[in-house]
Amino acid sequence: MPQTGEPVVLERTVPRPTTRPAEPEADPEAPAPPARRVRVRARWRRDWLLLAVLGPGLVLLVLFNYVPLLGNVIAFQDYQPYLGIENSTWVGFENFQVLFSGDARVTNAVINTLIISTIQIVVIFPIPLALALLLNSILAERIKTVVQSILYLPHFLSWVIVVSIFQSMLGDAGLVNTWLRSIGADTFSFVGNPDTFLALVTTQSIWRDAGWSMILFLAALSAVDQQLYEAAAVDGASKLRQLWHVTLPGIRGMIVLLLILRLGDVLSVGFEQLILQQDAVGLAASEVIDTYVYNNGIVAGNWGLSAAVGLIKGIIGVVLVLLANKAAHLFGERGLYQS
Amino acid sequence: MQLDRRKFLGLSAAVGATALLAACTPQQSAGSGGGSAFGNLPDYTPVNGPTPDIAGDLSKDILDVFTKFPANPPTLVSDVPGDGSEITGVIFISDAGAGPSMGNNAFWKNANEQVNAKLNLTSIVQGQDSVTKVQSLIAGNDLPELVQFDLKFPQLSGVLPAKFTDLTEFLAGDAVKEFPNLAGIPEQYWRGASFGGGIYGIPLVFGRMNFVMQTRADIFEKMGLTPSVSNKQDFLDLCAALTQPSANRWAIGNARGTLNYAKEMHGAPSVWVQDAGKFTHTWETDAFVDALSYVRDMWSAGYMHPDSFAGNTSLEQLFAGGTIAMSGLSSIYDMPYYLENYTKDFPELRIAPMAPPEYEPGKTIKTGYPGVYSLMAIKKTSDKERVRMLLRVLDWFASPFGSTEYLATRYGVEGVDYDLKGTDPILTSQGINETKVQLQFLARSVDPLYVAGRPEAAETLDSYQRQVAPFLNVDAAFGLQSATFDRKGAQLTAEMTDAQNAVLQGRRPVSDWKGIVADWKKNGGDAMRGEYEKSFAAAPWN
Repeated sequence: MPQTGEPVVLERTVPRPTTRPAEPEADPEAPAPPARRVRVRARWRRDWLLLAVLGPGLVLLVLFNYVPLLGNVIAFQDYQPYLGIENSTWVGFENFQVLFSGDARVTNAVINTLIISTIQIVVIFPIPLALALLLNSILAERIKTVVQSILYLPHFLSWVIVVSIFQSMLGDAGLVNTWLRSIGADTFSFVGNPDTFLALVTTQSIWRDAGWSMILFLAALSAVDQQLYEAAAVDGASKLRQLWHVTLPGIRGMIVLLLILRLGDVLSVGFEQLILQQDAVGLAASEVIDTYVYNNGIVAGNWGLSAAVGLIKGIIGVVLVLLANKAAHLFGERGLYQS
Repeated sequence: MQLDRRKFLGLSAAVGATALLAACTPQQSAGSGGGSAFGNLPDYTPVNGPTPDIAGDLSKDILDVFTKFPANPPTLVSDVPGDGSEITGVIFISDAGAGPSMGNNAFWKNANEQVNAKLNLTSIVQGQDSVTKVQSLIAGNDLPELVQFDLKFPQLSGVLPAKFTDLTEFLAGDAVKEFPNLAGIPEQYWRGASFGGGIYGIPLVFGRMNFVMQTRADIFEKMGLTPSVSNKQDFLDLCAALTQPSANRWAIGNARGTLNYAKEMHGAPSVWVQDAGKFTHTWETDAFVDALSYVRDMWSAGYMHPDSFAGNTSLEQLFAGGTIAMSGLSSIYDMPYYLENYTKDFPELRIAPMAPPEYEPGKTIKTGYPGVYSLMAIKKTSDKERVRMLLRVLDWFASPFGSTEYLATRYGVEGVDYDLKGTDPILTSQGINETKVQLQFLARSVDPLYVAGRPEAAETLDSYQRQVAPFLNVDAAFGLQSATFDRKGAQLTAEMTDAQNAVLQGRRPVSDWKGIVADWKKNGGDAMRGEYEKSFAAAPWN
């Protein structure tokens, strides 16, 4: 909060509707509009640089996030790229029927998505937190930095490379199995096996991204006041008690924030990672909503139908974020924004 | 809306009445079966090339054979085809990966110089990637001038008339004589380029023998095996003998190719078969089900490389490196390709094609291919001179074997990309790398069988083609129109491939296949059948 008397929090430019009569000390001489203009001008003079810096980002946001939203109209069309939006036939809600008609492929995709998503939230989400807590307990700064770097570097490998690494290391014809064969031992089938597909994608996700997500928690951890630990230690709290009573409450805001964002993505479980491995394990195990939209829409040419599925997915995502945010407010957290 | 109509009127002069009609009624797919769906095709005038060592007969699917590259190759195209301008295009990438970019590619720069144009080409992976890339180029109105189209591209009969030039006035009948090398493409291949009465591309000809089962003759010899089988059990025995996982070797490594060979062994047709005007799909036959369970057993016996179903493995590397001893996903031109490109790294490499055994006493089937790998379409334009220029450039690329143009389109620059050994152009390492940019995908002549520096290999291929050509079975639906295939073909094929893989890998019982086919029929299979039957009845070549 700034030290000057000037409030930075957004002021309402429209006077608050009030049943009370205008208070005498509210400067009855000055009519409201000019006063507002002065204030706006003053704020503009103060903030123009910040706004200018924000400009390019805003343009990109509008151009690449908001303008494409208009393309969602093809969900109500039998859209064909060669006809364009203006010449494609309008079909109303026909494309949405597939969601409610019990289409086997859609059902399969939705179920797979929910399963993978649940695993991501229950299994994968806590791992970076655990890593961060472990790493935070290492005192030697050098070791800490080295471990941190090793853990987050895989994040910079694209999925194509990650998938290839897993296949050439753990695949049936990969390094480990080839070695096992050469010594006459039994081999295992982990990659390209529908039964182990969930375990495989989970392992890949953890290996690639856990280190990266850990950094956010590390940042939050560094913000916890050291005096609290000292006070807790003086009161005789064990390390475990300190973790429970100081560390976790200290980073609760960050945990809730990330969880809300994750919930909004509950129907997106990663596209590249899955599509790259789809041939080997088949659609039954690997088709999720995003790959369905791609396979059915862009590859097979059912654009409108895929757009409809994608649109519903987006709407559900927004609703979930809002609900989770509401819940966070109820528990006294800040969430994504304040109400 | 108004603007569009005006644009249309402006274009109508160039595209002809049929195309306009097709473009104005987009909901109805252009050739849903009427007689007008088949337009005039270019007349066939064979190109006067060098005399082959063994003459073939295209009408019987026997290709010419050359054991040596002709000495003193003539230059066939006398005029400079290009006008010095830039030509943009999208072509497929080779399985071996992307070659060097234009600036670092002597082979490419030489071709630019020869045709007097700057060929600004983007390479894309054939299949799904090419479909998505081209779809987004269409949606973004960002099409280059030349686009290589997979024949399975969704809504092709709508896309081509709407966005690409009808080449009828430039190519139909004897107009094609202006482009003598394109005139050397036989009529049957042009059927694949005909949509709604127009000609919408140059067919890329790859011969009609597809899925040639190739064997590593050197590995066979070392193990005391012969690449020849006379029945289904023989092949299994061969696979058992070749499979040695501890030595990192498997008999075979590709699900599609293996299944195809099994189809031949069991007498299942290639795709659609026509009998007295009635169409049947291979999936509906008992022979196909037998083939499925045969390959399923091979997979569970471990004869197939573990990555056989993964789309991201390079079959080329596995086969050239000897990790798999047989490979079934190849055109007849693959053997020359492997030998010319991989002998440097794998000097022991020898390949022999293996004919399918009789499936019943006295009966053999060799699954063939309509012979058209893709179409090279020209973006819609009213500039006729530009179209002529582009066609001249494509004509140059379609120059036949034995010409200097052929050396430039396939082998590059002498002393840089290839060295002459006798008269044979042997690719250098640089040439192998640079020719990965598949300029030959712009247009191709009907190639003879020839392997640079390996006269005996061409002869081996010749005896193979003479053995199997009489039994060639080609998709009866080629050149026929089906609105349902256009609309749902890609989706249905993907679903069937997935189900097929599930059965082959043992995730679903073979007995499920009947139900899978019943679903396919209901979801469009039967509709396609009906449309093909109608289109077949109207086809002029019948």
